Amino acid sequence: MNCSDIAETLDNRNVEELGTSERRDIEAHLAACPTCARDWELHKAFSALTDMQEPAGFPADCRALIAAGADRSQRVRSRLVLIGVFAAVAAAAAMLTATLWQQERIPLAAVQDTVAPVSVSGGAMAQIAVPAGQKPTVTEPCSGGCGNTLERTCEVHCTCAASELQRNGCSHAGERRGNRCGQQSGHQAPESSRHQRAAVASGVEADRRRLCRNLPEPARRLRDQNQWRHGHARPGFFRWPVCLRTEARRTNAEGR
Amino acid sequence: MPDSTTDRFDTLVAPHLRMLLRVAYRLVRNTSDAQDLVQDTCIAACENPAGIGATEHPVRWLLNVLNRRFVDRTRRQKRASFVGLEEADAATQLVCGQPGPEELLSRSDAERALIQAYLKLEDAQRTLLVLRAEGYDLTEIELITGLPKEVLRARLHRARRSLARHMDEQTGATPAALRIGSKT
Repeated sequence: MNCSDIAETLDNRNVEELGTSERRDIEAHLAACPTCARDWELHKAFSALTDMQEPAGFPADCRALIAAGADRSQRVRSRLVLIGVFAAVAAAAAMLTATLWQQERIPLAAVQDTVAPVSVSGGAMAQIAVPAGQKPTVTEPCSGGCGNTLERTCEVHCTCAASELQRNGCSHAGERRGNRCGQQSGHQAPESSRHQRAAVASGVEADRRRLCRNLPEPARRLRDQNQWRHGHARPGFFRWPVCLRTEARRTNAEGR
Repeated sequence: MPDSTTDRFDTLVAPHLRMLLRVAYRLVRNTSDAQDLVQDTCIAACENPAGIGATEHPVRWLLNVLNRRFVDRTRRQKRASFVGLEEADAATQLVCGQPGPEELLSRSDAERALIQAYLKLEDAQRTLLVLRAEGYDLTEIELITGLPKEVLRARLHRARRSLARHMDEQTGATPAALRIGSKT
């Protein structure tokens, strides 16, 4: 018997399990080894230190505590279920509304038969009967004078003008050529960048002036000297400003 | 498997309640704290049917939970901020984790020194010493704590050395004779 055996016994064996011969060997080693003797004494003393007085009624108190906790958790669970049901209903209603809005734009009005105000050519308002679940359809001749008939599906609250209607299917030559203005040369395009680009493409002088109104000084000088090259100002948002800067740079270089 | 919470308590927890209380008392050496620990363990067992209901050894599961609650509780007490007596509410009950006067009075000097030395040990060392004093060998302690047996053996050895050192500090004896490997 050595110190490792004593440690193994202390780790895995109980004193009551030891046989007579084992006890004799252990006592012989403990008499010669104070470290092991101290560990053995401490282990025995600590194991015997069970002076706890069990409190009266502790199991009953524990059981009552468990029962109260179960009742409380049941109430909380019921409340959570109710909240979950309400949340699910609200989420479903919100999703349904959003889906109808995506499909019909104005869901509640489009579900029923209604009379929708629609602006047609020249900004005039027309009353169009809208069947349930369908979008109103507008049919009118192309205002460009080509003789074609335009037919488009309109939104309930559509306020599009005739030029907007022509974008949706007009086979007019002016539509194909330019940047969706759809008008012949000489047309006064509205004050929007899209129509400005379209006007530049069609080469209208008035629109070119309007486009060049805010040009920097070198470019304005180019315009006044009638050196503006329309080919450089091609439609496209990212193209013509670059062209303007190139012209200005070139003009400045020449001026020096 | 029992359905309701109280049924689980009666079937799985109540038979081991006395053992749990004894182990908890060994751990904290305080009756009130021991009852709190056991109650927390019971609540965890009864409100978590997937835990104790799924295991084949409810005792190991309960001891594992008890050990975790003990470690959590000790860490929480270490993090607790101190409040001056002037600031403390007069109605607040000041709870001390040390043994009460009655408990100390009923013991001999040697027992008091042993308990004081034990309370200076780390949480893991206290757990191992208590489980070993309860009669669990290293294989069972490995299953309860989830730690490898070699780690447990080393920790148990260090726990005994620390306990002896603290005992010598209590009684004023020289620890030279208790150092590892020293033989006279």
